[in-house]
Amino acid sequence: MFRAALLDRVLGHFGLSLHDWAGAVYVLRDRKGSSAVVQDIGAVWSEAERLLGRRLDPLDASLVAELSR
Amino acid sequence: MKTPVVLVTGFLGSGKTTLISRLLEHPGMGETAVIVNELGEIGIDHHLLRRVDERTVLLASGCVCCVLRGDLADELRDLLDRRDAGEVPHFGRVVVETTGVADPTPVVMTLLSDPVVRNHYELESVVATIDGVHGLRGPESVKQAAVADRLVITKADIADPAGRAGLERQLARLNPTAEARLSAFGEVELDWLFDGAARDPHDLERGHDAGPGEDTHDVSSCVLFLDQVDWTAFGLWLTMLLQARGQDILRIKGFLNVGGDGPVLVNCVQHAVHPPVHLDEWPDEDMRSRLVFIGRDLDAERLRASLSAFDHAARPVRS
Repeated sequence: MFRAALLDRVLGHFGLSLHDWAGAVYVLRDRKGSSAVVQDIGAVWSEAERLLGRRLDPLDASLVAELSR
Repeated sequence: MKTPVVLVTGFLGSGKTTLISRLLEHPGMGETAVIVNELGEIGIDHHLLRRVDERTVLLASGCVCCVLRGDLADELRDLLDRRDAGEVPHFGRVVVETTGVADPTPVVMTLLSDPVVRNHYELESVVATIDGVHGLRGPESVKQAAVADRLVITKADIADPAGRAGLERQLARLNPTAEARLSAFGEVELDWLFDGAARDPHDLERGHDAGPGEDTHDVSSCVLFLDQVDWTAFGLWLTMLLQARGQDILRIKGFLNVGGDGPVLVNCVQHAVHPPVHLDEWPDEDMRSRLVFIGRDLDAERLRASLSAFDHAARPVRS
């Protein structure tokens, strides 16, 4: 799914990955093995913030540079 | 068909009740229900409306933006039930008057997110009355003007012309998406006030980027112009932006070129996102995406670079 693939790329910049689970929900994982179930993509940013313990800013210069490649 | 709701906001004494009172005298406003919110224990404004019938509901003893949000949703549902049961005269529009100190954003959020309310009502527009004599007064007043679709500058009969002109310029800088009109004694053209096109962000050329100022409590505005933008990339970018910076972004409004025959109308009031409207055609020959941002700590170039990067990233993913 296009949206999930794009989302995974953005989240990847922050060390997170998004996995589709049986087409029903998504599982968000960090590199330390922590995970969170995300019921819909609209809730992914707040869950990602909770996992990382910080804000994910789309204006982050390194993210913008990464996505512009 | 959903019943349109018009939210009337404006600072204490800026002329909200006078405006609504005058509107209700208009023949075209006959089938209108009014919900009045007042802070005091004893509501007064609804008596001033001079038409206290079953379609005029008072939400007293609290502010609709904080303690009474549930009450507003309840009243809207109750009005529907009573209309359907024939217990109140038919109404085809609801006007909600907030208190003078209300932040309109939570009210907008209630209208857009309560499941029953959003299925039966449609937020038509947010109208802010601005005191033509005293201008913007405090951060509440600035926020009310920032989220409005229509600005009614009141007391035109007694306002000093020079000060009034300055206020008009200030409002155009603060909220380039909202058209402003002068009004005396609540007189305003109904067609203009309730024109659906109130939500169309025309005339953005007058909305050049405006820096923060003391008079606007550090709220500024900027306009982003882009070419075609991938709709999915925009949706992700917008939700991420509002999650990260929603407290600082008071308003986003504009047209997006997503490659169709017409643009998509985008309208957000802080975290509250109106359902996107896909228009059949462009209102003029300019087919660029254009988005107005109103808020604090806005950097137009960073916003543009970020959205462009998301759009760029969408291309290899999509192909």
